This record gives sequence, structure tokens and C-alpha cells, in this order.
Amino acid sequence: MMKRSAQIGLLVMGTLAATSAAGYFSHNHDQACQTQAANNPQGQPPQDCRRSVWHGSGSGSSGYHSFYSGSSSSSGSTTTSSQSGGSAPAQRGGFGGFASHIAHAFSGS
Amino acid sequence: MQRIACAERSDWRELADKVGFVFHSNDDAPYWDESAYYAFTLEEIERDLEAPTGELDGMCRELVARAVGDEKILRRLAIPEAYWNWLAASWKRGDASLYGRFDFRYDGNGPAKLLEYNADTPTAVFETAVFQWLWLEDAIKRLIVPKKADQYNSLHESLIEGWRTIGAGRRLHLAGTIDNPEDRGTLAYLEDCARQAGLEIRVLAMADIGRTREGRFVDLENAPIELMFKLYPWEWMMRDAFGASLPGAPTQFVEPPWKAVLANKGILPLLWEMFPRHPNLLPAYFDDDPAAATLGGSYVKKPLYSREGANVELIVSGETLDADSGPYGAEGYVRQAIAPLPQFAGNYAVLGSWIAAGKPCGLSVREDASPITKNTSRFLPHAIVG
Repeated sequence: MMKRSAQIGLLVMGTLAATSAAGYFSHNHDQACQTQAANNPQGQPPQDCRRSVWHGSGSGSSGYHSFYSGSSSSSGSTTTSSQSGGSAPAQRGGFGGFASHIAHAFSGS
Repeated sequence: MQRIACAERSDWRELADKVGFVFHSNDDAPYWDESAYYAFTLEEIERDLEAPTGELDGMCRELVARAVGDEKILRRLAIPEAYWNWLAASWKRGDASLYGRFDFRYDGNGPAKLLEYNADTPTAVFETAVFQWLWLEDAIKRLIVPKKADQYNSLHESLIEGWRTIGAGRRLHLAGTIDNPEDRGTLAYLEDCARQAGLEIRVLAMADIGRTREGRFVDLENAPIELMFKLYPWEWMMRDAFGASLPGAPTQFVEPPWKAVLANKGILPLLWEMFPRHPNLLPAYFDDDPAAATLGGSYVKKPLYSREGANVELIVSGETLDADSGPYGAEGYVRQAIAPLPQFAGNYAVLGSWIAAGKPCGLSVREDASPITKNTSRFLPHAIVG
């Protein structure tokens, strides 16, 4: 009997080579980070760019993909803000509060 | 099933970093451990793991179908009443599930026994789907495993297929507690799979989700969140400040609300009741059920809601032999018959059998020096060698 994953593996790795988590992060985001640093002569990228991708730096102001939105965890209270001019305000901070009660705040299982 | 000691690749840390697997170590101890691998025969994989995973998935769906129409069950599971109709509607609509992981006790002899089902927020997904596959390819090249070795692993393509079915062409918001490196890594990988499936992605922290006056959920740009993956347990969302807005919001969630039933350890006694003496189940009872006495003084006590072994107690002859601390247990406990994890070279091993896009599709192995598998338990790769 042919072992299924031998076929699957080729397909998986073919996909990965094109646009995998690996390719996506280590190439696209890193490249964006480097470009951002080069266009900002006053900026001193304090850490290597690749790491900064994972830590959610970059506001998207240079047209790059804003990876994470730079939030802090909620303590359970909500705030009201209007993020884009003219639109109705939305309350924020209403999710994530329970995680702050859990010591390690690990959501996985 | 065997544990085979083997040579570590001297550069595996660099390789892991290179592909974005940044949580490969816990402080100084490795989380990814390739000093050994688990070897299975194809028969063990297909007969003992793959087939039971599909069968258990079907049984779980039967349980949900029953639970959403039975308030006694929902109350038993400590699901707040305000969400009952919402859960039922989600089930009746057929809201799609992306993935889940069944944890088994298995040693190669006899049927795999279900220890628990991680139905809502299963993690270890990137290392299962990608990094252990990369290990296999490399291990074949470096003669660490036999040339014809294989792996039970189509999780990556199943996830892409799942995303394609759920929402190709749609915008997907992925949310979680992104301060946590492992959660962040898991979200990043699922983002990648969803992109490959043709979805448009935005990622945000749970705390950044906004709620409008009309009760709609929006992102930081006030764009509506119509389809959302949350790496954040349902029981936490229901208890958060915005929880009350969940039933009225027009957002489609992944995992769907009906998974809140299956993410509860209370399914263990309910499955045992529905499918008594099923070969892949262990006897289990709610803690306050008089029938729990049939287990005698030796059992595993698990909170209805618990993550990564927290607050699980191993009780033997009435004495707590091992326990992991944690914040859970207020909603009650279940008792499950003890099925001691097999030991390989002094390590307790537990198997995680994955299902995605409705198909059993992969395997992960975790090891620990303790009989309770925890967040810090090591991940070892596996191979099919016979």
C-alpha cells in the first residue's frame, strides 16, 4: 500500500516553499522591516527586524502589513474610542479580561 | 510503537528559528525534543489512531446534537443559560469547525483510549503540521530514520482545505492573547494557512475587539468582524465583559459556538453514558454522581474547564499521587478511570490525534517525566517505519 503522507508531503512542501509560515515571516515581513528601517534614518532599529515582526512592531503607517495591533491586555474594563474619524465610537477592552486572571494566560490546550 | 533514540541535528534550533518556530524551548529546557522519535507501523496508525479519531468525532457530534436540546446536559456542563439558544442555533446552522485534537493513551497494544478532546483551542499545531514534517525530510536525508520512513501528517493541507471551505474570498479576523509567544505563533501559522486558502486576513488582540452601540464587533479600524477565528476559550469569552453581546452579534466564529459543549471535560462522562464500554473510551462520571464510586479510590480528577493539565489530580487508593496546580475547578469536576500513560525510557507519552476539515489527519507526541501532561511537556516527532 502506498503511504499517503509521502504524496502529501510533496504537496505540503511544495506549498511551503511558495508561501509558507516560514517564507511569509522570514522573507516578506523581514523585508518590510528592513525597508522601513532604511527609510527612517533617524530610527534606530533596536532589535533585529525578524524578531520585531513577531513582537508586533510596525503600525502600518508606511503601507506595510500591520501584523498585530499593538494592544495591551485588558483588565476587564472597557474604553470607548473612535479609531477612524467620523465613524461611530466603539467600546474596546471587553474581551481578554478573563485571560488576565489566569496566571500564564495561555489559551491553548 | 517504539521510542527510538536518535541523533539530534546540531542545527535544529537555527532551523526552527528560520521557519518561525520561536517557542521551541521553555527557558533552558527544550520543548521540541528530537533526541528520540516515536516509530509506528502503518497498521497502528490506520487501525488504532486514524479510524478511532473519525469515529470519536462522529460520537462527539451526536453528543452535541443531543446536548443543545437538553437543558439538563447544558446545566451539567456549567454553560451559562444565556448562551443555550445561541449554541443550539450555531449547531442547527451547521457552523463549520476547522480543527480539534483528541488526546489518547496508547502504547501499541490494544485500543487507544480517549483522555480528553481539545475541541476549542488546540495548540501544538505548527510543530505538528510543519516542523515535524521538516524533521522527517531532513532525518531521511541525514540517515537518522530509514529511507522509506513516512509520517501520519496531512494537517497542513487539511487546514488550508478547511479555511477554503469556511471562507475563501472572505475577510478573516484572527484574535488571541498575542502577548503569549505560543499563542502568537499559533495564530501566525493559522493566518498563513488561511492566506493560502484565499482569505484576507487581519490579526488583532482580544482586547482590541470593539463593540458598537448596535452590538456588532469591529476591529481597530471599526471594520466589521464578520468571520473571526479566536484562539481564546469560549468559556473565557462568555465570562468577559462583551460576552453578553455574543448571541446578538452577526459574527461567524471559528471554532463555532457549539464547540463550547465539546471543550468541556463533562463530555467524558456523557460519552461514556451514550456509548458504554466503547473500546476507545474510559469509564467516567461527574464527580457528584453516585456511580463515580464504581471507580473506587483510584481515578483521575479533572475540572470541567481546564487547560494543559492544570488542576488535574491523579488519585490512587484515595491519595493524591500527582497534581498540577492552576486556577480551574470552580464549575465542578469529572472522574475518569486511570489509564496509566505508557512509559518509554522513563518518559510518559501521550498522543494527540488531529482532525481538520472533518478528517483525521495527523499525530503529535508529547512526553513528560510526570504522568500528567502539561504545557511544558516536550514534543517529539514521529515516523511510520513499517
